Amino acid sequence: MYSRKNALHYHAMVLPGILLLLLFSVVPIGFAVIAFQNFKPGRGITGSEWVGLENFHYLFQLPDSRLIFFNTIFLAVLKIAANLIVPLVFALLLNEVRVRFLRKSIQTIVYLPHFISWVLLATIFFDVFSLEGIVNQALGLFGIDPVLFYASNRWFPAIIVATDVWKEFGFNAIVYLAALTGINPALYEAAGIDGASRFRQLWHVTLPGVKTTVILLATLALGNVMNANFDQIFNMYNPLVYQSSDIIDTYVYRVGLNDLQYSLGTAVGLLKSVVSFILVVLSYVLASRFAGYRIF
Amino acid sequence: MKPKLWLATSMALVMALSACSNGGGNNAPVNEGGNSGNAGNNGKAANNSSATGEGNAEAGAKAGDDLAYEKVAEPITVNIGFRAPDDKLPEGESNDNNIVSRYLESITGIKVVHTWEAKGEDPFKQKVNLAIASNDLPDALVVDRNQLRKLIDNDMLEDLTEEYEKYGSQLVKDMYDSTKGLALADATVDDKLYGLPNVAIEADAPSLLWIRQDWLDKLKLPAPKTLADLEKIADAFANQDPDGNGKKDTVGLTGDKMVVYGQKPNPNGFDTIFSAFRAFPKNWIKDASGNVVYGSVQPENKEALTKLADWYKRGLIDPQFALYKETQEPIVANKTGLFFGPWWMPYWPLADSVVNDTKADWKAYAAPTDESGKFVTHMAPVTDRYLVVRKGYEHPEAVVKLLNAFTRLERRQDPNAAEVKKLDDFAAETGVHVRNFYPFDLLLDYSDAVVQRYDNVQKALKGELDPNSFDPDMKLVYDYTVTEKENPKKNMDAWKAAKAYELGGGVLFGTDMEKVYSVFYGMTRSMEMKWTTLEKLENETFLKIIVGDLPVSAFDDFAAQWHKLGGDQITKEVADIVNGK
Repeated sequence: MYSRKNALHYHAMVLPGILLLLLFSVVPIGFAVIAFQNFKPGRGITGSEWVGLENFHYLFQLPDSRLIFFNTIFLAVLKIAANLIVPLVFALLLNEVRVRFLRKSIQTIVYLPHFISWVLLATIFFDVFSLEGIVNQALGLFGIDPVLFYASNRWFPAIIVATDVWKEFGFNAIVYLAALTGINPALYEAAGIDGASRFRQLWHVTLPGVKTTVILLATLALGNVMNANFDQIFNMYNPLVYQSSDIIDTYVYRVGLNDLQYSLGTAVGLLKSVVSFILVVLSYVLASRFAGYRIF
Repeated sequence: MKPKLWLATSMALVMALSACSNGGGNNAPVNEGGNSGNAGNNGKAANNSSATGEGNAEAGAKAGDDLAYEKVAEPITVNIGFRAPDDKLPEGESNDNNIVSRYLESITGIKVVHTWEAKGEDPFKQKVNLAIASNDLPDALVVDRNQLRKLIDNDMLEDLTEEYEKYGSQLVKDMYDSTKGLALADATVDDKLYGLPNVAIEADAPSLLWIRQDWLDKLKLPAPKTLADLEKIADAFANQDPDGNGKKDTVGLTGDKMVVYGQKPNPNGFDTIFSAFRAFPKNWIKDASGNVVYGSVQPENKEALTKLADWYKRGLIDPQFALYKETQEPIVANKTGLFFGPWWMPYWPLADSVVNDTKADWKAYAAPTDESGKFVTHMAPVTDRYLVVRKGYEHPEAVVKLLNAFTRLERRQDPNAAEVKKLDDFAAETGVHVRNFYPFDLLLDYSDAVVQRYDNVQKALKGELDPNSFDPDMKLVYDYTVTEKENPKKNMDAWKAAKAYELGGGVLFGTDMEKVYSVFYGMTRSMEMKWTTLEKLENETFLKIIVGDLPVSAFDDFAAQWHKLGGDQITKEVADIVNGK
């Protein structure tokens, strides 16, 4: 499509991203060998003792490991599903708003939270869900006893998913909104002339129009099944809800950096990477088959 | 060693030697490192020292300190990891360039550069762990016991034995000696000294009960003595609106997600409740028949946990205690009038509580007591943090010299009166703690300092002692106490010191308490592999039982599992070490 010369500036634009990827994702792969060692920083990789799969054996004996893998996949799947559906519904609703100014304002406002860091949001949500927080005050109006959301293994996963969706749905909706504008208005006109109601139009014109986008995003999200968002959970969780919200990444952080068990931490991380890799490949295959999505 | 440095070092040595001979026979045998070869240069060096006129002549009587406090010949840079305090410095001052750092640099000639900073206990610990993990230590930093072991294990530390002997000041050595060698032994492996430990004061170990006396009086409750009294007060504070604003916005007893600190407490540990049941979690103790056992798995814990779980369920313990990012939040916000903490609470966080509500009138009590009416407490290790130097750093002596300088300043023995006055004025004006801006968070004191000072200050107030005879430390406490008596809560610096000694020190002084010492603080071989898992199990079980996520009976499962998962092996190893096998 483009000549090589024309493509040069595109390559230049990608370069910083590629460099960061190399530095923070590709280079560290080599250092994952410490998962097979009893790594001691002072001796370095060359000087540390090789222990084969011992760290992995230990890992599978730990009662925590099943829990953290379950939590990770559970939370990630919920988030993926919610982050596909909520933005889609929102985009469809927003698309029906006829006042252009209103539509644009809402769109801008709802994607603002995407840019707030979880460090801040965690503090804000802590107050919102605290005993004297706005949620419990609202519940109090209906005579419901205050709930300690942050300490409850029942509620905390829901809060994790809900706050994540709240933060991201506006941003995720942008893709759908773009897909919606891409639908030929003539189709709506034709449907209108044929006497289709608004709902019928939605069903027969709009949804088929964004179907490929939905399938594409869904399959690509598969690669994230092992990513339940460290930033969010690390800032929001506490020891009381480890049971329901301790995920691989937070566990690796605590074991590897707090408890100084570098090799064990790396082993957990490596295991996660391997599973993630398989899922990414799978999602690519699926995406190219069902949505015609190709990188190469 | 680089030739230039060698020259500087030998010059310094020679100067000290000459000062020694000039002074004519003194007692400090600091120059063991100086050999007879150097002594030959005495004459020349003596000329040098008088020519530079650094005041060596008049300090001749203390040759050791002469070397210890001498400004380095050529500027030296030390890169450190710095624990940044909460204090707000005035405009234009920064953590690595402020009135304190400039003063220390001016007297030592050592430039301290902050390679990195971390604020708060946990972030600092994590930052240090990261530095260890990446084998990228700053030249010097303060580490905890586990980190020290890790560092020694990995051969990442400089041996400080000689530097300490040669450059350690008399004051520093005296304070280490006051622990009967325990402090240094703690950082010594194979006769090599790998870190300069802090010296904790004994008073730091007991967790006292701090109460808003104004709330107590308002609700007409008597001072607490037993667990039942405490229970009544917690109930009243949580439910009877002690702050009188008509809203149910106060809590009873506050806690920390750690549940107990075990060794040296910070605010909000439940240690004292456990020891009232004669349970000593996180301590290695001897049981009734003299066997070494681990405190956390003894049946007495179950009684304490039953009590705490009951209180939590009835709302007598702050329902959100495990959720706070910073444990002092409810205290500072004056949501609570009841918590456990060591004697120094008035310095922090109580000063903030009083600033936020000047009506707050805190008192300390040695409560609750055990069944026989005795206040029981575990004690703390004599040291728990260590100033270490990266292996290969060229100027380990600079680190010792910095320690000398700020310890002398901290212990109010700095002879540069004018400069010290400036620092004091600065502190009074801005509310900044000078000690928080020493390069290293490592305080040394005599181990019985707190009760001693309390006792003497009280005697001076009664006219039994002359305050002018006090050492500078004690004099300062006395002055602050007088200031605070004349103008209560006007000068917060005075309030902090006066109240910490009067309330905290006073209770410690006046209480005949049973002190339970841990028999072991280190690590054994099996602990290295398994301790993290066991500790996690313990912490989570205790916390979950208290908040009701697990029934109290889960304690028995925990104890059984603890033994099975390596606890038995570890107990045996500890017993072998304690019994000297």
